[in-house]
Amino acid sequence: MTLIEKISIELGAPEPWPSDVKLFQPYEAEQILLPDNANCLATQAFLKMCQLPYAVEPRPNAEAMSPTLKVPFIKAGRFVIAELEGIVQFVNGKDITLTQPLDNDEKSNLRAYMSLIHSVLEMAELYICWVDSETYNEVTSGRNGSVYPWPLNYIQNWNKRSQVIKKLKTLGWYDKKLEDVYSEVETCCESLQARLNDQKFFFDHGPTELDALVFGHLFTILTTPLPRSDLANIVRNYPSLIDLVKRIENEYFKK
Amino acid sequence: MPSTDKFQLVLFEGDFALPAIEPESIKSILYCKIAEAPVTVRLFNSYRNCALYKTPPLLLHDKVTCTDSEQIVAYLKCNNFNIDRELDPKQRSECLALKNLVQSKLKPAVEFNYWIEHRNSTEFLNIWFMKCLPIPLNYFYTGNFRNRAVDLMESLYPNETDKDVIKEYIQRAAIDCLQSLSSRLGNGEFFYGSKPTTLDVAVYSYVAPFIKIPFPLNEMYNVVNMWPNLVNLVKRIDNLYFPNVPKGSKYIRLEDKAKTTDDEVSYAAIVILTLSATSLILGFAYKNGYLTGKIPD
Repeated sequence: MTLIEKISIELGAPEPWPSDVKLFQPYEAEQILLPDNANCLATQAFLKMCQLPYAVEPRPNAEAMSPTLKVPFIKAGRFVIAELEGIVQFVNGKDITLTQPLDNDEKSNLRAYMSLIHSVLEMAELYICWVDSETYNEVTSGRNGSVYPWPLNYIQNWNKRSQVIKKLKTLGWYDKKLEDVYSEVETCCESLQARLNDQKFFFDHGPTELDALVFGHLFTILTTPLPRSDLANIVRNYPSLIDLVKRIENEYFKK
Repeated sequence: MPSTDKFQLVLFEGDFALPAIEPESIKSILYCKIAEAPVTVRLFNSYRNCALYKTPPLLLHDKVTCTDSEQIVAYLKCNNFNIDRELDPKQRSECLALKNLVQSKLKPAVEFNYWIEHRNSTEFLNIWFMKCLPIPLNYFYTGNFRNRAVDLMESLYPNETDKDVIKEYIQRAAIDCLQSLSSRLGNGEFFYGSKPTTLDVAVYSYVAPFIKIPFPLNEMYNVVNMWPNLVNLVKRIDNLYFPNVPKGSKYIRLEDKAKTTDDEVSYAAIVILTLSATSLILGFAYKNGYLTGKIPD
């Protein structure tokens, strides 16, 4: 979270949720990639769970507009806040929270699982999109470059790819093989399923940002057509996670 | 079947009552101790042990080489040295999530304190590594560590260049994480009952350096001490698994001397400087004839 966000949370606290909130993200049909889409969807799910109105505003350069260089970000009145964590805190600052009934232990649990998803599912998605050459050539390069004219699309792709690879290298994911990535995802899904334990949501009393994040990632993995469908196949092995995704989709997105 | 062959573990040397100087090495040696795996430890401090051109920790067994702590733990688990065996699926799941939290929040804080904080890295750790490792390797590894830390900061905070701002984010994340861990641990002996698990291993290896290494600039020391139950966890693990690690230090003692003799060194320097300056002036004067050996009439 940046300093600007911190200030916006403090300053924006007393104001009610404005009616013209815009959520900026890349074009869903032509441009957006798996990890970005997952995060955008997670944020949308969170806002819907809080019953806060927003309008999606697709922009080709949403990533460059964002204060943290990551999508999605929202514009609420005078404030611009990026990424799910920042938005959750911004919303909490207005006394709207999904985690009110949780005790400290459960809150730390929630934080731990959110970091698990960020450090496993998101990395795996980045790996598939940018490192796996088949997916990169067939899907990622075309989509990521689609909004730029001819020579620029190659430059932008190359630029973005080297950034992602650097990130994966420092976090120890670049050296993994595809099978290792799949087994990491399996372990992650397994532990999510064990945590969910056939409940309706991760915490008894109702949906939280963790459910939103899980929904965002799993729904995107399940519905995005890729040359390698292994990730989706792995997720399909966990029926209670699929149920969760369906439940959230029906409850919040099909109205 | 437990394998009867011995495992070989290559580690960075330990100091300041730590079994190894950096977290990844600590993680692997602690795991081996808890799992009671039959390992022979080779310290990475001479040419003989440095011929592998890889960064410790390394585990050598038959023809298998594991090159990082995660692989080492996975390999040992495959060989039936599993310390998480008694956890039920739900606990195992929670353990994995908390381990990830530790990894993603505390690791940047450790790396920052080790290598980005200028005073710690140049005045302290650099000297330590320079003395510990033989000559070309000490430059190689310290440079490598620093680059890795810089890369980590850049990929975590891509549009932030101010070091102090990054430090603040990292410390805030670390405090959140320690808070969660402390409330999860409560008054328990370990995170899951009376036996340590991989979560305890991870917490120990990222918290102990803050407590034990006398960095010139260590704000995290006070932060960690806000949670006495985490400090006690570290002490408990020390007593159980590293009772014989020497408390003093091999390399810092030299440094203490260097520090206490700091003034004397400057005196010596002053004497040398004065002598050389005087002799230079005298020589110059003599050569140009201002000074002659003769006594004037």
